[in-house]
Amino acid sequence: MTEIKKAYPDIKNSFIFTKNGTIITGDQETDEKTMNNVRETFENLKEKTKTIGNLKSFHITAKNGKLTLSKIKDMHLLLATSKNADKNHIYSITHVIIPTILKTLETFAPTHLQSPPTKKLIVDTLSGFFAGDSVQIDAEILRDWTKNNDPRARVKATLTKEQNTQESINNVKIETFGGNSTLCKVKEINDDKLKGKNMIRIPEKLCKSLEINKGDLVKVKPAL
Amino acid sequence: MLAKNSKTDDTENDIEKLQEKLQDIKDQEGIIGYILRGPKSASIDLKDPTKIIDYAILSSTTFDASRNMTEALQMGEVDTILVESEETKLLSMNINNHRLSIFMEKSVDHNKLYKNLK
Repeated sequence: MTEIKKAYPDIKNSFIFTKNGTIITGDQETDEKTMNNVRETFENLKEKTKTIGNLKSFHITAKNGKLTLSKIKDMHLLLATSKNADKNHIYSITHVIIPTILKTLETFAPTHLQSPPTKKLIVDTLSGFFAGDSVQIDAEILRDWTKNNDPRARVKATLTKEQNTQESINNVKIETFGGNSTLCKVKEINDDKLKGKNMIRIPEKLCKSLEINKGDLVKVKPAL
Repeated sequence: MLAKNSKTDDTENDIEKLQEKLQDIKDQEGIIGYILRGPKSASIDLKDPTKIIDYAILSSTTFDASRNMTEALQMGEVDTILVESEETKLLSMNINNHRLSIFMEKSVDHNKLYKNLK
Protein backbone atom coordinates (compact mmCIF):
# COMPACT_ATOMS: atom_id res chain seq x y z
CA MET A 1 0.00 0.00 0.00
CA THR A 2 2.90 2.33 0.74
CA GLU A 3 4.31 1.74 -2.75
CA ILE A 4 0.92 2.40 -4.36
CA LYS A 5 0.67 5.59 -2.34
CA LYS A 6 4.08 6.65 -3.64
CA ALA A 7 3.02 5.95 -7.22
CA TYR A 8 -0.30 7.77 -6.77
CA PRO A 9 0.31 10.76 -4.48
CA ASP A 10 -3.42 11.60 -4.58
CA ILE A 11 -4.04 8.66 -2.24
CA LYS A 12 -4.18 9.86 1.36
CA ASN A 13 -5.26 6.70 3.19
CA SER A 14 -5.61 3.11 2.11
CA PHE A 15 -6.19 -0.21 3.80
CA ILE A 16 -7.71 -3.63 3.22
CA PHE A 17 -9.88 -5.63 5.60
CA THR A 18 -11.72 -8.93 5.37
CA LYS A 19 -15.48 -9.39 5.61
CA ASN A 20 -14.80 -10.77 9.11
CA GLY A 21 -13.26 -7.47 10.12
CA THR A 22 -9.55 -8.37 10.13
CA ILE A 23 -7.38 -5.56 8.81
CA ILE A 24 -4.92 -7.20 6.44
CA THR A 25 -2.75 -4.29 5.52
CA GLY A 26 -2.74 -0.53 5.26
CA ASP A 27 -0.50 2.40 4.47
CA GLN A 28 1.96 3.40 7.18
CA GLU A 29 0.43 6.78 7.93
CA THR A 30 -3.08 5.63 8.82
CA ASP A 31 -3.13 4.53 12.44
CA GLU A 32 -4.88 1.35 13.53
CA LYS A 33 -7.46 3.23 15.63
CA THR A 34 -8.63 5.19 12.57
CA MET A 35 -8.73 2.02 10.44
CA ASN A 36 -10.80 0.21 13.08
CA ASN A 37 -13.12 3.16 13.49
CA VAL A 38 -13.81 3.31 9.74
CA ARG A 39 -14.10 -0.47 9.47
CA GLU A 40 -16.64 -0.68 12.33
CA THR A 41 -18.71 2.12 10.81
CA PHE A 42 -18.64 0.35 7.46
CA GLU A 43 -19.65 -3.00 9.01
CA ASN A 44 -22.73 -1.32 10.50
CA LEU A 45 -23.61 0.27 7.17
CA LYS A 46 -23.06 -3.02 5.33
CA GLU A 47 -25.59 -4.69 7.62
CA LYS A 48 -28.24 -2.04 6.89
CA THR A 49 -27.48 -2.14 3.16
CA LYS A 50 -28.86 -5.68 2.97
CA THR A 51 -32.20 -3.94 2.42
CA ILE A 52 -31.07 -3.18 -1.14
CA GLY A 53 -28.88 -6.27 -1.65
CA ASN A 54 -25.24 -7.12 -1.06
CA LEU A 55 -23.04 -4.06 -0.89
CA LYS A 56 -20.61 -3.73 -3.80
CA SER A 57 -19.12 -0.30 -3.31
CA PHE A 58 -19.48 2.86 -1.28
CA HIS A 59 -18.32 6.33 -2.35
CA ILE A 60 -18.24 9.63 -0.53
CA THR A 61 -17.36 12.97 -2.06
CA ALA A 62 -16.42 15.37 0.72
CA LYS A 63 -15.14 18.93 0.89
CA ASN A 64 -11.48 17.85 1.05
CA GLY A 65 -11.43 14.51 -0.71
CA LYS A 66 -13.07 11.37 -1.97
CA LEU A 67 -13.50 8.03 -0.26
CA THR A 68 -14.02 4.76 -2.10
CA LEU A 69 -14.77 1.47 -0.40
CA SER A 70 -14.91 -1.41 -2.83
CA LYS A 71 -15.35 -5.15 -2.55
CA ILE A 72 -12.56 -7.38 -3.80
CA LYS A 73 -13.61 -11.03 -3.49
CA ASP A 74 -14.37 -11.34 0.23
CA MET A 75 -12.30 -8.33 1.21
CA HIS A 76 -12.85 -4.58 1.24
CA LEU A 77 -10.44 -1.94 0.05
CA LEU A 78 -10.64 1.61 1.34
CA LEU A 79 -9.07 4.43 -0.61
CA ALA A 80 -9.24 8.02 0.54
CA THR A 81 -7.92 10.41 -2.07
CA SER A 82 -7.66 14.11 -2.69
CA LYS A 83 -10.70 15.67 -4.31
CA ASN A 84 -9.00 16.00 -7.69
CA ALA A 85 -7.84 12.39 -7.88
CA ASP A 86 -8.19 10.91 -11.35
CA LYS A 87 -11.26 8.66 -11.58
CA ASN A 88 -9.43 6.31 -13.93
CA HIS A 89 -6.53 5.95 -11.52
CA ILE A 90 -8.90 5.06 -8.68
CA TYR A 91 -10.65 2.54 -10.92
CA SER A 92 -7.40 0.90 -12.00
CA ILE A 93 -6.23 0.62 -8.38
CA THR A 94 -9.50 -0.84 -7.08
CA HIS A 95 -10.24 -3.09 -10.05
CA VAL A 96 -6.85 -4.06 -11.46
CA ILE A 97 -3.77 -3.36 -9.32
CA ILE A 98 -4.92 -4.46 -5.83
CA PRO A 99 -6.85 -7.56 -7.04
CA THR A 100 -3.77 -8.64 -9.05
CA ILE A 101 -1.43 -8.13 -6.08
CA LEU A 102 -3.74 -10.08 -3.76
CA LYS A 103 -4.06 -12.91 -6.24
CA THR A 104 -0.28 -13.08 -6.66
CA LEU A 105 0.32 -13.06 -2.90
CA GLU A 106 -2.20 -15.83 -2.39
CA THR A 107 -0.28 -17.89 -4.93
CA PHE A 108 2.98 -17.21 -3.10
CA ALA A 109 1.60 -18.16 0.31
CA PRO A 110 2.48 -21.78 1.12
CA THR A 111 -0.36 -24.19 0.47
CA HIS A 112 0.78 -27.04 2.69
CA LEU A 113 -0.71 -25.31 5.73
CA GLN A 114 -4.20 -25.30 4.27
CA SER A 115 -5.24 -28.68 5.68
CA PRO A 116 -8.43 -28.42 7.73
CA PRO A 117 -7.79 -28.25 11.47
CA THR A 118 -10.28 -31.03 12.33
CA LYS A 119 -8.66 -33.90 14.27
CA LYS A 120 -10.00 -37.38 14.89
CA LEU A 121 -9.36 -38.20 18.53
CA ILE A 122 -10.02 -41.20 20.77
CA VAL A 123 -12.39 -40.62 23.66
CA ASP A 124 -11.29 -41.13 27.23
CA THR A 125 -13.76 -40.40 29.97
CA LEU A 126 -13.09 -37.97 32.79
CA SER A 127 -14.90 -38.86 35.99
CA GLY A 128 -14.94 -37.77 39.57
CA PHE A 129 -15.70 -34.69 41.55
CA PHE A 130 -13.08 -32.53 39.79
CA ALA A 131 -13.97 -33.58 36.24
CA GLY A 132 -15.42 -30.10 35.59
CA ASP A 133 -16.99 -29.23 32.26
CA SER A 134 -13.86 -28.80 30.13
CA VAL A 135 -12.42 -31.40 27.79
CA GLN A 136 -8.68 -32.09 27.71
CA ILE A 137 -6.52 -32.36 24.58
CA ASP A 138 -2.78 -32.68 23.97
CA ALA A 139 -0.92 -29.37 24.28
CA GLU A 140 0.78 -30.13 20.95
CA ILE A 141 -2.58 -30.25 19.12
CA LEU A 142 -3.65 -26.97 20.71
CA ARG A 143 -0.36 -25.35 19.68
CA ASP A 144 -0.79 -26.66 16.14
CA TRP A 145 -4.24 -25.11 15.96
CA THR A 146 -2.96 -21.69 16.96
CA LYS A 147 -1.03 -21.53 13.67
CA ASN A 148 -3.44 -19.59 11.51
CA ASN A 149 -4.49 -21.51 8.38
CA ASP A 150 -6.64 -18.75 6.90
CA PRO A 151 -5.00 -17.88 3.53
CA ARG A 152 -5.70 -14.20 4.15
CA ALA A 153 -3.87 -14.40 7.48
CA ARG A 154 -0.95 -15.99 5.68
CA VAL A 155 -1.01 -13.18 3.11
CA LYS A 156 -1.05 -10.70 5.97
CA ALA A 157 1.89 -12.48 7.61
CA THR A 158 3.75 -12.40 4.28
CA LEU A 159 3.08 -8.69 3.91
CA THR A 160 3.81 -7.65 7.47
CA LYS A 161 6.49 -10.26 8.22
CA GLU A 162 4.64 -10.90 11.48
CA GLN A 163 4.32 -14.37 12.95
CA ASN A 164 1.32 -16.21 11.54
CA THR A 165 -0.42 -17.16 14.76
CA GLN A 166 -3.77 -16.44 16.35
CA GLU A 167 -4.95 -16.29 19.93
CA SER A 168 -4.93 -19.42 22.08
CA ILE A 169 -7.73 -21.96 21.66
CA ASN A 170 -10.22 -21.83 24.52
CA ASN A 171 -13.14 -23.74 23.00
CA VAL A 172 -13.52 -26.72 20.71
CA LYS A 173 -16.35 -28.21 18.74
CA ILE A 174 -16.80 -31.95 19.19
CA GLU A 175 -18.72 -33.90 16.58
CA THR A 176 -19.56 -37.55 16.94
CA PHE A 177 -19.90 -39.96 14.03
CA GLY A 178 -23.51 -40.41 15.15
CA GLY A 179 -24.19 -36.78 14.25
CA ASN A 180 -24.22 -35.20 17.72
CA SER A 181 -22.11 -32.13 18.37
CA THR A 182 -21.32 -29.68 21.13
CA LEU A 183 -19.14 -26.71 21.91
CA CYS A 184 -17.09 -26.83 25.10
CA LYS A 185 -14.10 -25.38 26.90
CA VAL A 186 -10.74 -27.02 26.36
CA LYS A 187 -7.62 -27.47 28.49
CA GLU A 188 -4.32 -29.28 28.04
CA ILE A 189 -4.14 -32.91 29.20
CA ASN A 190 -2.63 -32.75 32.66
CA ASP A 191 -1.89 -36.45 33.12
CA ASP A 192 1.63 -37.17 31.74
CA LYS A 193 0.77 -40.83 31.06
CA LEU A 194 -2.00 -39.82 28.65
CA LYS A 195 -0.05 -37.23 26.67
CA GLY A 196 0.77 -37.85 22.98
CA LYS A 197 -1.85 -40.59 22.54
CA ASN A 198 -4.18 -38.74 20.16
CA MET A 199 -6.76 -38.65 22.91
CA ILE A 200 -9.54 -36.36 24.06
CA ARG A 201 -10.63 -36.59 27.69
CA ILE A 202 -14.32 -35.78 28.01
CA PRO A 203 -16.29 -35.49 31.27
CA GLU A 204 -18.66 -38.45 31.73
CA LYS A 205 -21.73 -36.23 31.77
CA LEU A 206 -20.81 -34.80 28.37
CA CYS A 207 -20.09 -38.30 27.00
CA LYS A 208 -23.63 -39.29 27.94
CA SER A 209 -25.20 -36.30 26.25
CA LEU A 210 -23.12 -36.94 23.10
CA GLU A 211 -23.96 -40.67 23.29
CA ILE A 212 -20.32 -41.75 23.12
CA ASN A 213 -18.17 -44.13 25.14
CA LYS A 214 -14.52 -44.55 26.02
CA GLY A 215 -12.56 -45.67 22.93
CA ASP A 216 -14.93 -44.05 20.39
CA LEU A 217 -13.57 -41.70 17.74
CA VAL A 218 -14.79 -38.11 17.56
CA LYS A 219 -14.04 -35.20 15.26
CA VAL A 220 -12.65 -32.16 17.09
CA LYS A 221 -11.88 -28.70 15.77
CA PRO A 222 -11.12 -25.36 17.39
CA ALA A 223 -14.02 -22.95 17.86
CA LEU A 224 -12.58 -19.48 17.19
CA MET B 1 -35.31 40.61 10.99
CA LEU B 2 -36.31 41.43 7.44
CA ALA B 3 -33.10 39.93 6.13
CA LYS B 4 -33.72 36.81 8.16
CA ASN B 5 -37.24 36.47 6.76
CA SER B 6 -35.95 36.94 3.24
CA LYS B 7 -33.34 34.21 3.77
CA THR B 8 -36.00 31.85 5.16
CA ASP B 9 -38.22 32.58 2.14
CA ASP B 10 -35.31 31.79 -0.21
CA THR B 11 -34.69 28.48 1.52
CA GLU B 12 -38.38 27.61 1.41
CA ASN B 13 -38.47 28.45 -2.28
CA ASP B 14 -35.39 26.30 -2.87
CA ILE B 15 -37.02 23.36 -1.09
CA GLU B 16 -40.21 23.83 -3.09
CA LYS B 17 -38.15 23.80 -6.29
CA LEU B 18 -36.33 20.71 -5.06
CA GLN B 19 -39.60 18.94 -4.37
CA GLU B 20 -40.83 19.80 -7.86
CA LYS B 21 -37.65 18.30 -9.32
CA LEU B 22 -38.13 15.21 -7.17
CA GLN B 23 -41.67 14.80 -8.49
CA ASP B 24 -40.23 14.69 -12.01
CA ILE B 25 -37.39 12.39 -11.03
CA LYS B 26 -39.60 9.83 -9.31
CA ASP B 27 -41.47 9.19 -12.55
CA GLN B 28 -38.27 8.47 -14.46
CA GLU B 29 -37.51 4.91 -15.43
CA GLY B 30 -35.53 2.98 -12.82
CA ILE B 31 -36.27 5.32 -9.91
CA ILE B 32 -37.44 3.40 -6.85
CA GLY B 33 -38.21 6.44 -4.74
CA TYR B 34 -36.79 9.09 -2.46
CA ILE B 35 -36.64 10.29 1.12
CA LEU B 36 -36.23 14.00 1.85
CA ARG B 37 -35.69 14.83 5.49
CA GLY B 38 -35.56 18.35 6.85
CA PRO B 39 -35.12 19.62 10.41
CA LYS B 40 -38.89 19.66 11.01
CA SER B 41 -40.45 17.48 8.34
CA ALA B 42 -39.84 14.63 5.95
CA SER B 43 -41.33 13.52 2.67
CA ILE B 44 -41.09 9.96 1.49
CA ASP B 45 -42.17 8.62 -1.86
CA LEU B 46 -41.34 4.98 -2.54
CA LYS B 47 -42.84 2.62 -5.09
CA ASP B 48 -42.98 -0.13 -2.47
CA PRO B 49 -44.45 1.39 0.74
CA THR B 50 -43.67 -1.76 2.75
CA LYS B 51 -39.99 -0.83 2.56
CA ILE B 52 -40.37 2.66 4.04
CA ILE B 53 -38.87 1.81 7.43
CA ASP B 54 -35.94 -0.20 6.03
CA TYR B 55 -35.11 2.49 3.50
CA ALA B 56 -35.43 5.26 6.09
CA ILE B 57 -33.00 3.39 8.38
CA LEU B 58 -30.58 2.83 5.50
CA SER B 59 -30.75 6.50 4.50
CA SER B 60 -30.08 7.66 8.05
CA THR B 61 -27.27 5.12 8.58
CA THR B 62 -25.63 6.18 5.31
CA PHE B 63 -25.45 9.80 6.41
CA ASP B 64 -24.18 8.89 9.89
CA ALA B 65 -21.58 6.45 8.52
CA SER B 66 -20.34 9.00 6.01
CA ARG B 67 -19.98 11.67 8.67
CA ASN B 68 -18.06 9.25 10.94
CA MET B 69 -15.71 8.17 8.16
CA THR B 70 -14.98 11.64 6.83
CA GLU B 71 -14.35 12.88 10.37
CA ALA B 72 -11.99 9.98 11.09
CA LEU B 73 -10.08 10.60 7.86
CA GLN B 74 -10.28 14.41 8.14
CA MET B 75 -11.99 14.85 4.79
CA GLY B 76 -14.30 17.71 5.69
CA GLU B 77 -18.02 18.07 5.14
CA VAL B 78 -19.84 15.41 3.12
CA ASP B 79 -21.13 16.47 -0.28
CA THR B 80 -22.51 13.31 -1.91
CA ILE B 81 -22.71 9.64 -1.03
CA LEU B 82 -23.23 6.73 -3.39
CA VAL B 83 -24.02 3.23 -2.14
CA GLU B 84 -24.02 0.50 -4.78
CA SER B 85 -25.40 -2.98 -4.30
CA GLU B 86 -25.68 -5.67 -6.97
CA GLU B 87 -29.03 -4.38 -8.27
CA THR B 88 -29.72 -1.05 -6.61
CA LYS B 89 -28.02 2.29 -5.99
CA LEU B 90 -28.59 4.93 -3.35
CA LEU B 91 -27.54 8.52 -3.97
CA SER B 92 -27.57 10.74 -0.88
CA MET B 93 -26.70 14.38 -0.46
CA ASN B 94 -27.26 17.42 1.72
CA ILE B 95 -29.25 20.21 0.11
CA ASN B 96 -30.24 23.34 2.05
CA ASN B 97 -30.08 21.66 5.41
CA HIS B 98 -32.16 18.77 4.08
CA ARG B 99 -30.97 15.19 3.71
CA LEU B 100 -31.97 13.69 0.38
CA SER B 101 -31.71 10.00 -0.50
CA ILE B 102 -32.75 8.70 -3.92
CA PHE B 103 -33.07 4.96 -4.48
CA MET B 104 -32.71 3.73 -8.03
CA GLU B 105 -31.93 0.75 -10.19
CA LYS B 106 -28.31 0.20 -11.13
CA SER B 107 -28.85 1.29 -14.72
CA VAL B 108 -29.84 4.87 -13.77
CA ASP B 109 -27.21 7.56 -14.40
CA HIS B 110 -26.75 8.97 -10.90
CA ASN B 111 -24.35 11.69 -12.14
CA LYS B 112 -27.13 13.12 -14.30
CA LEU B 113 -29.48 13.15 -11.29
CA TYR B 114 -26.83 14.86 -9.15
CA LYS B 115 -26.27 17.59 -11.74
CA ASN B 116 -30.02 18.16 -11.97
CA LEU B 117 -30.42 18.47 -8.21
CA LYS B 118 -27.38 20.57 -7.21
